[in-house]
Amino acid sequence: MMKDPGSQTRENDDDDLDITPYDYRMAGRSQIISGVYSLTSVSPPVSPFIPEIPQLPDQKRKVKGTISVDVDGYYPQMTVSGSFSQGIKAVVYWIAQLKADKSPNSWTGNIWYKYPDGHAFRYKKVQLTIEGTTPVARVIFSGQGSSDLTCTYKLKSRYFHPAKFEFDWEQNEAPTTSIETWAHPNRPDTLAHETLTIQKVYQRAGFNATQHEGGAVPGSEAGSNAKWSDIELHDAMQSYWSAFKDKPQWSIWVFFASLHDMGSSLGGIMFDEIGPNHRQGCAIFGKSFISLAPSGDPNPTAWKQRMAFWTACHEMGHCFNLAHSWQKSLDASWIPLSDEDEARSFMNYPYNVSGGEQAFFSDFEYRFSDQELLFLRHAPSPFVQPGNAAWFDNHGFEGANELVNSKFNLVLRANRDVNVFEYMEPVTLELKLTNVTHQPQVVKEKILSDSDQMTVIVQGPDGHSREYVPYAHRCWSSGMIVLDPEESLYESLYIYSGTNGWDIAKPGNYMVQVALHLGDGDLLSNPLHVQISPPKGEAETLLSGDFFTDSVGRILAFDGSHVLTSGNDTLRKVRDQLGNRRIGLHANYILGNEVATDSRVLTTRGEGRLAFDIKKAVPKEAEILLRKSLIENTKTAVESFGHIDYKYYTDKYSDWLSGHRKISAAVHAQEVLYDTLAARRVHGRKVLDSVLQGIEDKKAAYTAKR
Amino acid sequence: MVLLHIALQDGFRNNTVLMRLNGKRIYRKNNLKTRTQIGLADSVELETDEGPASLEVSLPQERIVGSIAFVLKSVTYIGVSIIEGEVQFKVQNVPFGYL
Repeated sequence: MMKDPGSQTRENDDDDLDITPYDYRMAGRSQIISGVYSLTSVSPPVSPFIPEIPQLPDQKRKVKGTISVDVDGYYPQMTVSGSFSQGIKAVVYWIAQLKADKSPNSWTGNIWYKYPDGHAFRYKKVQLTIEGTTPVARVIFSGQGSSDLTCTYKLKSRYFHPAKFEFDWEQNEAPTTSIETWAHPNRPDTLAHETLTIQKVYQRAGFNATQHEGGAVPGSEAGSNAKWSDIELHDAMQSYWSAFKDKPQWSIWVFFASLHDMGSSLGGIMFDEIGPNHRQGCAIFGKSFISLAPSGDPNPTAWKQRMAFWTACHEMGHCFNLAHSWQKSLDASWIPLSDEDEARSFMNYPYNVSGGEQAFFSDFEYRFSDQELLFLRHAPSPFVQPGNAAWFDNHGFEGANELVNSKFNLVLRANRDVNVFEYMEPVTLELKLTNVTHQPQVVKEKILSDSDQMTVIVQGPDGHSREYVPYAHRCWSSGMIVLDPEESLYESLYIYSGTNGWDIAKPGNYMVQVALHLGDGDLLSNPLHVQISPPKGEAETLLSGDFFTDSVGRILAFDGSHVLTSGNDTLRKVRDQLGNRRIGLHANYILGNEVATDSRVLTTRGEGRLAFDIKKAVPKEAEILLRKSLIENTKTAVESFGHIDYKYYTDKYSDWLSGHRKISAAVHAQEVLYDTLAARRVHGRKVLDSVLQGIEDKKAAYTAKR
Repeated sequence: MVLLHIALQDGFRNNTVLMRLNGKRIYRKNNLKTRTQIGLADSVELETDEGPASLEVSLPQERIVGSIAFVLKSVTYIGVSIIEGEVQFKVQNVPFGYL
């Protein structure tokens, strides 16, 4: 057993405060067990970072840790999060969503978040049990491949973080730090009738909050215009806040002032983006629009009081790095978040929801949203602590780099019922990446298109494995997208020819598997078995010598070439002699694609001078070849190209037709595409409705051009 | 004449922004960035004729353009945001408030 290593560093041993009978009723139990627990023992005595390495006896290297249990009390998020640290640099934060087990006070869940990138903490699951009147928590970490790790913790605080608020005010202004919840008649019927303080709001959000009123600040600090600039506010914070320090601390300065330089349109601001320690101060402007009750309001005084109170809680939320409700998905959200435009939260604008502020306050319970509570209680503490992470940096961080394998599922498949390819038929597979968690997840939009983000292994008939190496590495300037739970990304995967040659061309059985690199580890696809049929007929055998060359491999990989003439000559022979075979469809497409548009070809002229020659398009030939490839034998084409590439090529073809003012032909191509994909079934699976709708939309756009 | 207030609100990230009112350029600024804690990047006010009007907002480097047609009868407040690569407008006859 290890002695509690955290005992020397505690800040809040006695912050187990202020749990009222009302709180116990909220929890539906006689004892609330949510809160922060400190690590007391680790079994077996190994490092949670690298379980194969025993903990060293050196005290400085011992493991420290806490967990934040969030299963009861106000707005439980059914979450346990925690951190481990070892030495100076090794720190990891993790979060797991919990489901109750059959036994009381026992939960299990998957770890869906880890921070920072590149850590060696590899556990994936937790089982949490809490016992005793002085609660003791036991967490079994599992799923990293070797033995489980059992950690024991003891209760440290009922709250997740400490917080100290100081309220100062400009002369002739007054701080609003509490309200009577029933003072204004527009409220939820179920709202508790109480005197609500800012302290209580933040206690219910999980902070061991204390508040005190400081004193008045002379209006002269606002300069000659009697309005506050951000710099003047920052100067006042440094001069008048009794707790001001140039370092992160769980404290906020809240200043009730008259007006900002911006005038009456600014009701409040977290002004502190100045210097190295952001988010330490905010201001509320009592002479701004928040003091103007709508005409006809039944209780203008209560309206003003409520708005000032609400604004103070809102700006303090910014100090804890909370974004506005509609900005959750912006830039660097700490985990992938969805915007909450209609949220009844302190972080929304009441007048921006449907129905305006009347609707907002009729349904507002003086709380933060679940996403916000998750952040306040469970995000790595530097993201939340005022003065620590810069504003908006880690309402947020690069969550996508932290994805662990269990968040996604990667399927590799061929768009055909039987994974058998004809001899010389290019092998194009399909990748499907699915969010298998209950949370939205951020992922790079082009992750399935970026060959640098994946490794493709092909095991041949001889049992040897080789890595498929494409001819080109595409460097995408990739945006991020949110994948909702069960939502998927799809992309085609061409693996027929590459710089290693023809990895999957000889007749026989192959196994293909993809590892997608997600920063935190590799996400492995299913192994996919693929068979290449033997050549059919003498022509295929005779042509194969010319076909399996580097130039043909490159032409197939890049959908054509204007300079690899020998390869193009081979494809013409293939087209002429194997027109009824699947490679014939591909040859037609490539040769048609090559003559569809004018192209510039780099050539040498006298004395080695380089110049571009224009190779003129041959539209009539292009149309004939592309139609043969894509429109005349659709059932075979959609299977051989794969759904994704078939749609891509047909879209490109119809756009080309449209560009040549052949609108009817373009519409027809889309109709054929629609009919082909709508009728398509692979293992009984249909093409997505959204894809079909996109085709309809494209067709309608052409029709509108007529 | 009537007052038109245009607020450039959410979604600006160091963009060059151009605005044209009835085809005439009224605004150009480089490196425009939303202050996320108040949801506002910049604002402009001008006196203009009553009657039908159109406002075009463009971010040329991002190839984003959007426009809105409206009738100016009284003081009008237009909020402009860039959301998912598109220009979105909000029109009201009371001032915007920021928090």
